[in-house]
Amino acid sequence: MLYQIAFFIRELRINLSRNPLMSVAAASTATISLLTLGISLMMVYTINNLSAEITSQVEIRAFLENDVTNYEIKNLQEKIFEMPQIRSIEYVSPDRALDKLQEDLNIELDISPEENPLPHALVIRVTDPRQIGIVADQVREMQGVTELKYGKSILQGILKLSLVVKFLGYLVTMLMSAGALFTIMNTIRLTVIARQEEIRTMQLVGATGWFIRWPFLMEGVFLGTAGGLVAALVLAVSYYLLGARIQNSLPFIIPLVKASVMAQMLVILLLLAGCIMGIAGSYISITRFLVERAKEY
Amino acid sequence: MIFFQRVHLIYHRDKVHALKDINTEFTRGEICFIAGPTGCGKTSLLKLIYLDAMPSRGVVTVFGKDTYDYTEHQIPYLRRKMGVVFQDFKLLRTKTVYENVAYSLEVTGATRYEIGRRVPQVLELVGLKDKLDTFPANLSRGQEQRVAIARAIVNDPLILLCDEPTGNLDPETSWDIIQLLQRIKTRGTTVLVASHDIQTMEKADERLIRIENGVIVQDTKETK
Repeated sequence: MLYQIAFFIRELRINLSRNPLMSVAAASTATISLLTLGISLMMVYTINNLSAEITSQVEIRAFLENDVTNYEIKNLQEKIFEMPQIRSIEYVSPDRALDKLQEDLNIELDISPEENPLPHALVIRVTDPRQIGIVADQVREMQGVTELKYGKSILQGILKLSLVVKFLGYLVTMLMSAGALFTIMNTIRLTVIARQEEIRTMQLVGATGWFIRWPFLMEGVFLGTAGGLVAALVLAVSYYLLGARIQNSLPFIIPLVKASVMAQMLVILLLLAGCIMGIAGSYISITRFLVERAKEY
Repeated sequence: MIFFQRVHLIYHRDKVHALKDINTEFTRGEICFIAGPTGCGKTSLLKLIYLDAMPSRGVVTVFGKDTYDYTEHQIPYLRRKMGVVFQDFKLLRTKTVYENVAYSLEVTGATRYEIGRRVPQVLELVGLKDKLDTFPANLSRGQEQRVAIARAIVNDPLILLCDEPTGNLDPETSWDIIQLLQRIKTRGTTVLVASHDIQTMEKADERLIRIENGVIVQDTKETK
């Protein structure tokens, strides 16, 4: 068994070194296909990140009665926190709310604490923005809560949009994956066709289907993985260089994913995709070829 | 060892009736020359034995079993018991002489030691020991033919099938090859040699089958 593995590895080395042009052509095609797949993955990842960023900022503001005591506020906080959907809860006193207002509007208001019209408030954040309606309905019914705001219609719009964009992103990624698989498969098929006489001879001297397949499968994995690695490196470096520029010039528009996180995601996914597509491409090509040969008579 | 009973072979794609009503047998340790003009059906007869073609009618029995009874999975194992020298040699172009001959042993799972011992022996037998690392592209036709023979016999096959093994050789080298095949026969191997070189085959004084238009017109075994 070990001897056969060593033989297949030797065969792989021989095939790659003695057909260098074919190997470079196949790896280049895999790289280009995986580059397009990588770009769509980057887009989906950025959109998901953006959507998560926006929805994570969605919050419920529960306004409390004016004469509410600290004890009642604490009790209310505890009661709300018992709900499983709650991520965080923060109390904003009228004084703090006034300070924030002055800070946001950049003005000085001459209002004493007694005249402060702003109410006591609790700022509630949920783990899943889709659950915000349920939380809001329950909080609204609690004693001491007078009013509740959470931008219901805007949130629903964002959630719908994010769902559509995500769906489109996954669809594009799937199409890109299918395209990459098809391209890689056909490239490997060309290498199989170029060596059909060799395969035929292997069959005639008594090689089993799997004995013929293994070196081709290993070649597929090698070429696919090499293509994936090159594509991931090109995209990661480009993202690092371009992303930093975009982030510096337009920091408030898109919260970009960290370059290291993106590079990690690209290397893992594209290596995996290259490996799987390489092995699937060569398996389908060589099996189809062997079956076609068997049917000839 | 090999039986043909009322065998017909029709290539439906080309609409060619390659073999017609073939009835013959080949026993263990026998050498038989199959002669006839190009396209008469010699190669087809050999193909039926190594299961590269299946009879359209009749029965071909190899090692006591109807060729139709061999499953796809069993065919490679059957072929390992045979050596075939193809008309166009079918050498692996990206492999050296040594690797080409070794491949026949690799498929059987032979160890590196066994391969390292056996391949040089066989290459010495065919006079190519100094060409171990040469690629087929750098060999003459005669040398390629010898590599093909070496690859066919390296497994010590029970059946050796040679399709035009002297086709590209001068008379002297052809005669050397025939003598080599006769030596192989003495080891108990059944050797079938298809060729159009009737003079060399008659000189060998072995069983001779003549085929014309897919029909056996003479078998010296029957007349002897």
